[in-house]
Amino acid sequence: MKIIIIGAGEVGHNLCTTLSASGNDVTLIEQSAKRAESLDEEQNARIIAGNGSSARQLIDVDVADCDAFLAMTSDDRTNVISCSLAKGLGAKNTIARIHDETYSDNSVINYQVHFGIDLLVNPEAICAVELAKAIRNPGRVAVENFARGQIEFQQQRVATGSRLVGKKLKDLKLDPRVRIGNILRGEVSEVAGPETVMEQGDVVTLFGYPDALFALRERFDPKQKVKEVSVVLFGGSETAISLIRLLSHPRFKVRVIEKCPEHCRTLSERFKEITVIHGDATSLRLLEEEQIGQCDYFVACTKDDEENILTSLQASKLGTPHVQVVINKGDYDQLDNILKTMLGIEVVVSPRRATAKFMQRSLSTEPFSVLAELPNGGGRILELRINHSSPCVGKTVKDIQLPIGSLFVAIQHKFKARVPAADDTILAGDRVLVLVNKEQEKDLIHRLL
Amino acid sequence: MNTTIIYKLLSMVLLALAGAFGLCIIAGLACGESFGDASLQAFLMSIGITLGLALVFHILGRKGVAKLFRREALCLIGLSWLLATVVGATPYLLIVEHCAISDAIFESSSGLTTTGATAFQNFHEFPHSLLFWRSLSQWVGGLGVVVFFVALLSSLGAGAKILFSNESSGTSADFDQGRIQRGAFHLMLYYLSISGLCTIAYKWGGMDWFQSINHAMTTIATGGFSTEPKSLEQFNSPALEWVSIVFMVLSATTFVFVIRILQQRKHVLRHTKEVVWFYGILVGATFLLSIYLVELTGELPNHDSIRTAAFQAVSIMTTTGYSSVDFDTWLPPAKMLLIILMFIGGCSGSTAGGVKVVRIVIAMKAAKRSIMHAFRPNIAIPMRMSGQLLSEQAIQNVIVFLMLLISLQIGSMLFVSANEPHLAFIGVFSTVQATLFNIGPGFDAIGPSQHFQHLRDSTKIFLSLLMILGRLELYAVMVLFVPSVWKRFS
Repeated sequence: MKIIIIGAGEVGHNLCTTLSASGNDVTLIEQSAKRAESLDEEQNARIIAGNGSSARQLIDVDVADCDAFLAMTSDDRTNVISCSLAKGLGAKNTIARIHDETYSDNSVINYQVHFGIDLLVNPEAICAVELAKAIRNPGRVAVENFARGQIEFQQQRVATGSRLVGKKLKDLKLDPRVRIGNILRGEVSEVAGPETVMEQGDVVTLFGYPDALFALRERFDPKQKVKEVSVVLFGGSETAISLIRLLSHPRFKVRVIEKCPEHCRTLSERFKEITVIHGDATSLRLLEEEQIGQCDYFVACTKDDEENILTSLQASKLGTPHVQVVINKGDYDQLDNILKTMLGIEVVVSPRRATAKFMQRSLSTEPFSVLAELPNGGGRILELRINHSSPCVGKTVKDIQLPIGSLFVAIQHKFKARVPAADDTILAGDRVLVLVNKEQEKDLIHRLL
Repeated sequence: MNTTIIYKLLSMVLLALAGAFGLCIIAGLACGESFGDASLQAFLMSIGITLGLALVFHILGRKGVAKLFRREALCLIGLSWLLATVVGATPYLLIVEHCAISDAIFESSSGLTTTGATAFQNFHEFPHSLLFWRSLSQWVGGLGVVVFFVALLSSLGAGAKILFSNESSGTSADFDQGRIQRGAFHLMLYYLSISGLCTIAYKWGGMDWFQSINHAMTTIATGGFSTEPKSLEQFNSPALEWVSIVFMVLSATTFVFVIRILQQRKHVLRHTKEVVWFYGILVGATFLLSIYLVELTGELPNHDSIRTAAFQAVSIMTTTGYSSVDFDTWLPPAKMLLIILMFIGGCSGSTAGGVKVVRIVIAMKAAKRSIMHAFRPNIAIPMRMSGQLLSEQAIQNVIVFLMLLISLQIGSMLFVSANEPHLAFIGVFSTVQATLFNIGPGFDAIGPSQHFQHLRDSTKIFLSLLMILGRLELYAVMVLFVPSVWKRFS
């Protein structure tokens, strides 16, 4: 596949490495000649020093016959201009890295259509989803996110004292944004039907929108009271902003420590419900003053990796039970294990890696890919790309005969994911997430593709 | 230094050489030799030795991690060429009677570096398989010993890029492809196809198949080995000379430039200026040589004299080294002109040797800028080449390279002259120039009808080293002599 990447920052650089390592023909355009020169030696790709938002430069690298055009600079406007130009010059697939929420808001004008961008990517948001996963769902059996965090998937045990015990599924009056998938009873796993009766000790597979799932939690286990969770974020970066958005539920008490006073002001104006503290978390006095030891989560998400690692160690030492770190630089990848096993950091997230994974998935031309594998042989979740020749195109969900033991988890139509209802129609170009047992995979693929 | 990866890749170079020896056996069989003959026995033995060495290197390097840094890449290239030269000398040693080691090494390095100077007076009496090896070694060396597996080993990743830009005079930036492997693959495809075309053209011009294949290989590599004792003069055929002129010019033109034209990508002709200069110099030199020939013979210019002038200008400037006449008998101004053409050489990113046209042009521009600065120190003059801005670093690299090359030439002249006290000045000068710039024939004692056999052993070994230095554009060999390269920690 021929891929053009604009911008050799951490994201572009890492994408270049992973994409060229998997055999793609990558061209990277970087503004700074110096950076381009140093990259040329380490990348098996064509590195060009130039302006990625100049049409002449894009013609020079044959943008017309590239399969994917990725604008990955840290500047939104450059990315939008480059993508728009590339689309106009004939690029097949354009992806722009965008931080500003403005461009995802389509109420006045559809920016993506207007500028010819096929996909907006926000590495910081992807990264925030990873961070939020553990904060939002402490102690879950398995949690997986699909469609950029829009759909969550988890397993719940029906605990003693739950009012669900002994009831049929059809009588439960579940939120329509939540589905029940498999029920694991003892060793046997079966797909739940409307007549299925819940029993104590069942492990139920649930999927749906995250907040709806969370609301359901108490019904499964009444003893598990919803507690307030206090989260301290170090650094008011893009990642922190996305994370604050994801944690906008009132049960999360979010505190942000930020060095720059300007940033502090805008943050506090933008998010009324959070506390913003102006200061440097590398100072022990500040950490003690803010009683970091008593909070539940400490998330170090500044742009500076060294500060992130050291302050999180400090927080861990002060007694914070859960510590999470954002690592931006690819060079520190190999330290992941040490950070997790020896230094007690729970989650290490890197925007680059998350983006690369996301990108590889969206650029993949395979008809289906495995997104996750459930524990205890509960099956796998496949993502299928529906094309024009698929037998299921135009059918509604209830008309499609899935093999027994498989079910639809989500349907993603033009980057908007939803939990499928019986009357939803599957269209060409959709992506369908299906939970399936290993033995029935072939049968399923045969029926859908 | 990561020596294991070097061992590993060296063993692959040896494997490739063993394969090349195998081809020579096939060529020998096709030309009527049999396995009972001493020549094929010798080739089998060479294959055995090569494979044995390859095995040793393979065992030494079996734990190699495919991560190449600059230091390893440079050493690898230098070492592979030295090793290939030594291994490539074994067939000569085993087949030719009373062959001195220095002669075999000289012939082998002259082959691989596409120089085309010979140390054997009676090479035309060699068995066909050995003649084929002489030509094949040039064909392999033309593109580069290492480039062949840069294209094949995708596991080398970005390391392949460093290998490529150090072995070939072009850089990886010239390619339109992102992956160096694909770029190198296109290059090989082009190399193979022009070799095929050239073979057919020679056959059509009147050579037999063996001659046309051999000459095609040495023409495309701008090497200059011939199977005939008097080079192309032997055939005395205008058609063959024109075919040769066309293909020599083609193989001294930047390969990527021609590939781009073939693919009809007009908007990225990055080498236009260099190629235009190259052709311009060729036409000018042909014109001057024709005039000097008129002066020499007293005849008005006719087809023969113009063709001869063009042939010699092309053959010398592309650093091939074929001769259609004995140009040692020409007038001094003609020889002067040829010496300058030898120095300039062909385009970068081709198989030709010499300083390369692009460097000369850049150096001239830098000189012009210095002169401007002498009387107007504050004027800002941008340095461009084919529309691309040149960085100060790039200009400095060119000038340092020129300086290094010229001082090496002067130093070598001192050494050769001391070693060969009875050689005349022009002989010493052209001996060094013909080898360092990978041309082949020179003047006087090593003129087109002469050979290098009468030189002393030590001189021949030294000249072999000079040829490799010239072919690899100095650095890859010179680093091998820097002690800190070999230290584990310095």
